Amino acid sequence: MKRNRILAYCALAVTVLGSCKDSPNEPDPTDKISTEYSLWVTSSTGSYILTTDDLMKDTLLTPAGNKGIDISGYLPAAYYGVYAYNYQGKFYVSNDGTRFSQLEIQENATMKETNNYAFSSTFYLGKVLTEISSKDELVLTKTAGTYNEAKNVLEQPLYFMNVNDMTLNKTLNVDIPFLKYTPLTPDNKPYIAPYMVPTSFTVRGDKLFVGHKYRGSDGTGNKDILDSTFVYVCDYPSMVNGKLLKDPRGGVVAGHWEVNNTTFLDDNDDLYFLTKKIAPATYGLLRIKAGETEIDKDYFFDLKDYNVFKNTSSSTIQKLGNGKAYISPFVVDPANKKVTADLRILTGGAEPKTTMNLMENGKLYDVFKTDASKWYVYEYDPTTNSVKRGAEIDGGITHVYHVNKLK
Amino acid sequence: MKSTSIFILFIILTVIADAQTTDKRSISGFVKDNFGKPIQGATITVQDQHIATSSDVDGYYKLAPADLSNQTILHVTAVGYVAQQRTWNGKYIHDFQLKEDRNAIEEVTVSRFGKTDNERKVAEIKRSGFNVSVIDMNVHANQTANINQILRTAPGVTFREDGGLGSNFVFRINGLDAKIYIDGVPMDNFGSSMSLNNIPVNLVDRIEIYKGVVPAFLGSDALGGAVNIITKQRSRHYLDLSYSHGSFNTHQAALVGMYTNPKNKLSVRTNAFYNYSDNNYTMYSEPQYGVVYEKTVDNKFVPIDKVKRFRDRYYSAMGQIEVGLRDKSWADQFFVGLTYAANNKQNQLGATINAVNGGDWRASQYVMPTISYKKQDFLVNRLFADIYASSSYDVATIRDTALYNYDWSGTWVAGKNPSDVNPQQHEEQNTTNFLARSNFNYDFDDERNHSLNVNYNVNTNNRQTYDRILDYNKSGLPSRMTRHIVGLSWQNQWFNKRLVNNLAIKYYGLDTYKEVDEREFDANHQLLNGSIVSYAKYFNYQGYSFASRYRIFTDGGAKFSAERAYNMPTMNALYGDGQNQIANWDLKPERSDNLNAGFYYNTFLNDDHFINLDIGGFYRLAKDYINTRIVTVDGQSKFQAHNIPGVKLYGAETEIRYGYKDVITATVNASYDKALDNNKYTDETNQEVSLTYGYQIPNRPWIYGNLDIGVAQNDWFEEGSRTQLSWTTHYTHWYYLSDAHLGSLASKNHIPSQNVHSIMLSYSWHRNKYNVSGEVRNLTNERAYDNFRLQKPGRAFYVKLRVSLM
Repeated sequence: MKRNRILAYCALAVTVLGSCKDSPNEPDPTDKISTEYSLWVTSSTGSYILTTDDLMKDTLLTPAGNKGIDISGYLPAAYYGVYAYNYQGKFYVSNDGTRFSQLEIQENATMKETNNYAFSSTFYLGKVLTEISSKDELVLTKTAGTYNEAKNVLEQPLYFMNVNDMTLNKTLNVDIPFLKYTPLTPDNKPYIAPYMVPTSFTVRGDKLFVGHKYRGSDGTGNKDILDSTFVYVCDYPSMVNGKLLKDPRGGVVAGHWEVNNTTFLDDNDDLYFLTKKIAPATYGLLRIKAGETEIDKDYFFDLKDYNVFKNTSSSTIQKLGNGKAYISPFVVDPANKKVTADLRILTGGAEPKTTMNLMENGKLYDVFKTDASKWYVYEYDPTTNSVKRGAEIDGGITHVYHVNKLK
Repeated sequence: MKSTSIFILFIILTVIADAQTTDKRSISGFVKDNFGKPIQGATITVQDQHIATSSDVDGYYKLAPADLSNQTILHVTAVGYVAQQRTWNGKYIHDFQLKEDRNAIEEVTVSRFGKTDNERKVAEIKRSGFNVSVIDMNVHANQTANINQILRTAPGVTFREDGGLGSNFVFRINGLDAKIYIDGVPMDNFGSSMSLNNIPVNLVDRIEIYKGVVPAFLGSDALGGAVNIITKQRSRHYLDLSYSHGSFNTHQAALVGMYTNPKNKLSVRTNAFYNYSDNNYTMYSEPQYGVVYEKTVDNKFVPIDKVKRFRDRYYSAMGQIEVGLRDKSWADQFFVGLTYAANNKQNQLGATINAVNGGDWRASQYVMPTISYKKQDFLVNRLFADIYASSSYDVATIRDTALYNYDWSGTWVAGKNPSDVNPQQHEEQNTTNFLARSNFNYDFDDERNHSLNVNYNVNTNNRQTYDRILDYNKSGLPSRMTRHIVGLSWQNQWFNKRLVNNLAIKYYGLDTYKEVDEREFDANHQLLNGSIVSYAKYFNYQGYSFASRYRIFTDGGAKFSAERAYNMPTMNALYGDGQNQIANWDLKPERSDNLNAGFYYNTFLNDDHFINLDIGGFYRLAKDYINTRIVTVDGQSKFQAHNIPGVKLYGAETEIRYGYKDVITATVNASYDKALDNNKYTDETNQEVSLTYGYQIPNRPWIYGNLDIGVAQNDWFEEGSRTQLSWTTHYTHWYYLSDAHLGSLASKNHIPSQNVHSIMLSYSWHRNKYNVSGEVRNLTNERAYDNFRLQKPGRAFYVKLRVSLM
């Protein structure tokens, strides 16, 4: 009898254990989030998408309190935000070496993979060629091309991705000629394993311009070498009749192989390259005028007196209209070689912190961090040359990678 | 593999056949208590003859009376039990079951005279202020299990593994990285062939789990807890041989043997084990948990309902022999030994399931000579000396011969270009290890009211790594790590042993050194730049601890301990393992200030029922908490140890055990284990408050528990037989993989709650001499995970044969 009772108690214990819930309680799926705008932020431990219906609303955007969307599961590391791109409201993320995901924010505060493409070898998103991308097709590159030793070229594919079904419509390859000599260090020793990094791709009419730089090691790690601007120009889409342009005035083409652009076309179709001196790390602008395929020998806008990209290693350059461009944190008039505004002054001393800022209806949206360690979205109106402070972002974040419009 | 299994079976059957003979010149048997637990140290005498013996750790005794008649009377006495006597009656086997003497129960006084080292240690543990629980592994001897499967059922213990037999694991006690010892020797010293997940239960007598403060005689940098695995050691003839076979082509064999010449006390001990498994179990996609296995079809990742693990084979083998003398005037025990071990482990996965390896494996061969010496009354009365030294040499080969990665369908994935192949890897790591441990304990009086214990432990690892494919002259640079741990403790007893205290101070020294080849060469191997650079660091710290136990009433008391302790990084954490773990030279030792408190109570009802209750709680403030993160190197996911600046841990656990005679046992325990980020600011000016400050560290179990029920029936089919049915359930509550309060709950991945049930039926006959058992693990085929997407084995069946000759 006693034994039976004991066994019954044990059975009860097993039942109690078995009745425990498998999963945590989740909120009512009808609790919808805004899907107008998003900010891609990171903390020291994760990555989050914070959404709002108005970037200028006086509100606090934070992942705390289970707000926003946890996207850490899609990324091997927070900094992979630089290998992601928002296009027509969807995110395109290269997140594990070969996977290229199309992700879409859902109203139930989740991010869902709506489609993917499996590259056969390592792929991380490089540049997006916005000039030739269309509603149904995203034209993109990967970060690192393949060096062909026999041809002494960097073979860099341009992928034409059908975003409706995530298939490749076509792939074009551009062969960018590599150096015909081994570059030397200041001590006249050869650089170790020099390699090429394409930092910009621009299609203008029937020409493709590839800004690129070289890197190598002098024994203390890889660094930018050859303090000159290199641009490869060829016919598009045939990729023939290529020639290499070189200019020593501004240094290397700024930026790296990740997605943000450091090249822009102005209203006249003049192509500007942001350049950077290796040492000291000062910036400048070079130009290839519309219809031409040579660097304008009469133009160089030296920005050495301006702290371009301070606190952001590189940020996307935005065309503001009326001949102006935003090169964080400055508004410049490249044709007239003028800096017309410093957004740090307009925001009262705050520093820009975004990698991918946003232009909408002629206004710029960027995120700045104040001296008091507060993060805010600011709206810059080029027509009035003024800023407005918008939503605050939780000060516990460590970076804002993207400001995006989702609809 | 098949021939090996047949050979092992043949050995077992041969031993069974040989064992059928009965020794007609002696009387033997077991002395157990009312609940079937062996009574160690019971005295068995033959009336009117000057012949006596005492029972050993198994409760086993053997007597050889000069004369035997039907009037010969056997007496059995044991402290705390009602004595028994019985006439010989012509039977050579006499088992005794003694009842607890409730009037006589008092603190067991362990005299240093006439006690074995094992007895002395057990008693020390019982009366110490340390929060320790002891698992009797003999109870589990018929299970097809390794130590980890038993250990994870203890309260406060988490054991997270990423696969089947031989898989990588993370072991923690109350949330902190616990040190593991084998017979008091740090397990780090034994190479990769000896670990918690490959040592069979049959080699082990008991496991001591220390929570919080760790005794000084375990002289190492244990922080927050330690596990001491006590292997089987008998001073008499003993042979235990077992073999099991089960799912996933798993074979496990173990041998323990001992022989002591009664005349010259020459003693030989041997241990051996062999493990093999294909680990080819099935894993299932579970989209609701974010677990989706995929394959690539036409440049798309498409889900697969289920996949089989492949290329994940594992085997390990170990043989150990020790030869020495016992009970000599100059030594209680003096042994020299030699251990040889080898293993081979395919490495299907790195740190995640994203890349599936097809030709990655690691093999190691390990040899270790040892010498040990133990002596009571060493030089002066009441001074106990325990000295151990070993030197080992481990050669590990790490290879990856696959040109391509695989997908979960088992097919290889080609690169777009013929030249897109994985680099080949062939690395060799030669590691020499030297360990010396000396422990001296001086008792100021026979009652051991005051004792001083001093312990010194020095452990040096020296590794040279050779790249057998690349870098003809970049190989062989040394990485070294030397640890010095000195401990001094004072144990004292007061108020007729109601109060026991232990005060200790510890010195930790860590000396690290590495050489890095920073030279650069051109295509003709001509030096361009750089040199071989040496890096060295030395850390030294002082720790202290206090542990106290107060016996409030006969069977109940309270325990309290506090300490500041340090945990030094391991070789692999500092220098990487060449495979899945990458180096972190900047890793700092972890410090923790710990408080532990507990209450225990044991009671008996009608002599037939017992109830044990243990309740404990802990609070820890850890600085530079060592945790593991996943980092991506060249597109491959790897583990890396890193420091979290501040972590606060607290929790509680309770265990209730019930027994009815030797027929029913039931144990239920539950643990609650929180770890909070305790680093408030992320900047130097203390302006930026961390988003995770005060919140739980994700991706770790925080509520878990176990249930264990056993029902037994004695003397079915034949007298001396025992049939046992046991059921175990292991419960783990769900937990999030990222910070629970950041981002919507719907967007978070989590490990679901899991109930893993196992059942075992065993039959022993000839008084535990022969055993056969069948076991079903994960009976309900629960989707069990410790790590995200890495499902553990599902339902599995095992059969085990075991022969145990006393």
